[in-house]
Amino acid sequence: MEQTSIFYQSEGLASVEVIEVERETTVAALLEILVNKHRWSSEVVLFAEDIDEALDAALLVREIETTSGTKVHAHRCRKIDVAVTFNGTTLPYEYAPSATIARIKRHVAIEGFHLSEEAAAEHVLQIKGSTTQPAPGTHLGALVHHPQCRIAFDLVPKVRVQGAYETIG
Amino acid sequence: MAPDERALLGDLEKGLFRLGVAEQNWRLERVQWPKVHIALRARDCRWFSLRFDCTNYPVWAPTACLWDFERDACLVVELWPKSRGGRVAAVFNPGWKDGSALYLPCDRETMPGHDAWLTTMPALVWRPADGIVQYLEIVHELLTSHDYAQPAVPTP
Repeated sequence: MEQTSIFYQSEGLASVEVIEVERETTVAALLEILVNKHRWSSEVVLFAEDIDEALDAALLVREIETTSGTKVHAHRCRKIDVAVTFNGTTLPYEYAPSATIARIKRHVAIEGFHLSEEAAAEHVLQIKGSTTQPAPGTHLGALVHHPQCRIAFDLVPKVRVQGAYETIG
Repeated sequence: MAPDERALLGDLEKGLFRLGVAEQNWRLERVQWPKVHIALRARDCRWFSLRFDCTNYPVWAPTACLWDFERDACLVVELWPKSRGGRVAAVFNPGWKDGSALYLPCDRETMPGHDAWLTTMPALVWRPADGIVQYLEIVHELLTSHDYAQPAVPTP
């Protein structure tokens, strides 16, 4: 049977993990494999990356494959409340745990704070009260632990690397 | 195999590096320890090779320079990524250490003397737990940013 790589993120996992499964594996069977591997709660459900609804358990892995890597997210939260602050204004949103930081940043910056595409690209989400700026491919759920299905960010400019130029004239 | 080489090869097997390969953000070209060649794809689909020195990885940050994989030599400045006046020029700066290191807080050769970066740009300071993917993500973000412009002369 032909195998494929599934890249997955979840609450409690430090980074992206990868597992090889047969393409004919059902989503239900994939979830069972992951739950057993990581000893997750049975409340966990699977989402495809940047898709709002949980995956249908009857689907086959080959039916959710993408050419740029099949990416899923496992989480107990079905939705996550997101608050983003920019220039003193805070806007509330709701996303699936599988929403990428890149998608959220772009959506909030352009639709919420009316930045241009180019200006939005020069900003980044930073977890409120920290200096942590999750990578664009990070799934929202990787930053949130059930039952606290919420998180807050600041939308901040990307920094230009500068300083100590006296050493190079 | 020395611990640093084993650690680097282990990180290349992890999901985050493999995902970047699957998304064609980067690709491994060659490991010739302690040198590691990885190419990154820019906004215009052009690939730029970096030659990393990963001595004592991941305790020490790597250091990297632009590399001409065909000539097996430093990439000539005319073929370096260009900037539209923003963040790219600061990092791809041929005047910094004669082009032998990128001007980034996560670069081993660049960080010394820049202690202020620990507070002004902590997100870009080397994190051993994240490993080489941290460096790759920072460079890939620059190469796919609106500030990136193609090199002054076309690739031969």
